[in-house]
Amino acid sequence: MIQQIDYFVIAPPLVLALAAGLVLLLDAFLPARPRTRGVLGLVTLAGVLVSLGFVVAQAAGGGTPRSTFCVPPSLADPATVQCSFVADRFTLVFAGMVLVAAVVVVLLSMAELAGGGIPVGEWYFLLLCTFVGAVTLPASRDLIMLVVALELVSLPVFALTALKRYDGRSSEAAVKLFVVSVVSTAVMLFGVSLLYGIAGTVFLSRLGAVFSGQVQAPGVALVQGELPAVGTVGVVLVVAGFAFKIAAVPFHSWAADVYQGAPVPVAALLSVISKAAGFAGLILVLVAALSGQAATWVPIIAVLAALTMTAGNLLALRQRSAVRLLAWSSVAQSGYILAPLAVTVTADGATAIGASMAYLVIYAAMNLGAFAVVMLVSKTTTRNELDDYRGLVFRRPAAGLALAFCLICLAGLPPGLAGLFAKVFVFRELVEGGSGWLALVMAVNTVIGLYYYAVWTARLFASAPEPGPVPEPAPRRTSPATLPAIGIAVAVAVLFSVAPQLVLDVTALSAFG
Amino acid sequence: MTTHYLILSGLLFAIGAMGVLIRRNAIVVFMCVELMLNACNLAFVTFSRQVGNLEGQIIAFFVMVVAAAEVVVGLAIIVTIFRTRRSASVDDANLLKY
Repeated sequence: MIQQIDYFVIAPPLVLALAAGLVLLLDAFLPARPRTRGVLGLVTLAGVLVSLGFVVAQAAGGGTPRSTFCVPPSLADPATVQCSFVADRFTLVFAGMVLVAAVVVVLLSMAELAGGGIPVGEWYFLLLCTFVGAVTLPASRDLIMLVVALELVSLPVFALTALKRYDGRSSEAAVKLFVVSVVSTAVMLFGVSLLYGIAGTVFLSRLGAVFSGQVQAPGVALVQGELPAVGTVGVVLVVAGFAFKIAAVPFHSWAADVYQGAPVPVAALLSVISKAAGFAGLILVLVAALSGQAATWVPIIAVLAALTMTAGNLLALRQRSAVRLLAWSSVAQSGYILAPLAVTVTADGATAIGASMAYLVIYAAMNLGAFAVVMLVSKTTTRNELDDYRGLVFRRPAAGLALAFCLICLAGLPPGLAGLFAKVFVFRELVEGGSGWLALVMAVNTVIGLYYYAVWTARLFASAPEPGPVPEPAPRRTSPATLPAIGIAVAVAVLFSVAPQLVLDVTALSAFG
Repeated sequence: MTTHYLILSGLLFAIGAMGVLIRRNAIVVFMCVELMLNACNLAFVTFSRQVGNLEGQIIAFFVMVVAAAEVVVGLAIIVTIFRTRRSASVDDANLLKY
């Protein structure tokens, strides 16, 4: 029998994949003149916008989840629906966020590529491949799709990091990212194989039914709903694999080196899109497949969250480089996003996930804004250290104020209300879920975080430094594409500060339909 | 009956993991990762036999494709770092530090 495919549902990743192919063809056949670079960037941007249009159209079409690639009812067990690709509200929120972030990253890439030295066609092709993976991942509802989509997010990023071939630092960053990433993939796959061996299926819905004891497992029998030890090992290995993607603590050490060595747009991509994909996968596996075994993973997630936020903040304290500071700060923010997942059982599960997603959405806006300004400054300085930002508000008022706003948002102080609201959502869930100690750890960490964000913000407003013995390098030509990127990110952050209810409305209802 | 295959798969995975932690040459580290991935494949195929459906064998194919793609990107990166550094040892990667 022929499988019916609902092309409207898979349109967002499909459009991106077609655009990726188109970019490669154009790169091969267009005359190699500087003007063609701009064309490739515009094609990429158009692909991302069309894909975003499809996501919006699906969201406007009502809240009913649509699915495709399903096991036909004649072959499936009637107890569970087994579909590989589902576009429900969870999917749409993640896909929409990834695509808006993608617009900002593409605009930043235009500025990065204007300097020359990086092959343009390959860059945009790899970028689009990453977006395909990041949009597919929240929609996938079986372990095969999940693993393949996660690899599709990671593999092009290694190449993007290494694409500046004559810079020893970027190839070193690529090696570090690569080794840690492939090891974590192997670890996750071993965990997946154990889960498959117990449940005898790869569909998340069916895994969920097996692990909550509704369906008899063909592999290993559950004794009074308890997993055998091998299942615990499987859960831990899978969580470890995702922990790498979100740079949670035992697997965080790659973050700073890779962010610093990679081109700034790639660092922004890693800190927002790749991280969002990791969180989408983690939430899907934990909540859709393993919710019956929460007793196993809730303590792990709670400890990971506490360690991640503490380690990220402490390491950020001693940084002098702007990108390294943002790297550790994004590790710390991962901890805050992870924290509500630890109370999905004791509190209302849907609102806990909603708090996590709300934090992620707000974090994406403010972090991209900060990276966009860092990108702008990186074009005029060589080292890009915190001291280079001294007096930025007076030299470039728009960029300086935008960065100040984003940093205050990340710290969670007024007037950066978006960050404050995000933290309040998380605190509320933690306290209601009875995880008071985690809320306490987070409160202490917020105070630590205040210090380094405040130090950086204060430098923006400090008077400009005396011209030292070394003259400043002549500012290179900056591409006009950075300004709209800053504009989009800051506008979204301001919107969330004024109307945080928008985020909460969207994310709170996004439990799996 | 399938237990022996699972033990073998666990051993291969452990050998690969040890190799990644101990060895210093990037190419050897990379080979150890491949060993870990193949241990996963063996586990998938064995479990597929044990639970009596084909999904495990399908994952094994996807893992092979993923591993091949990783080889392509990984070797390219190792060649790049070898060109700039004249060494493929992961200990020599020391440009990025605190």
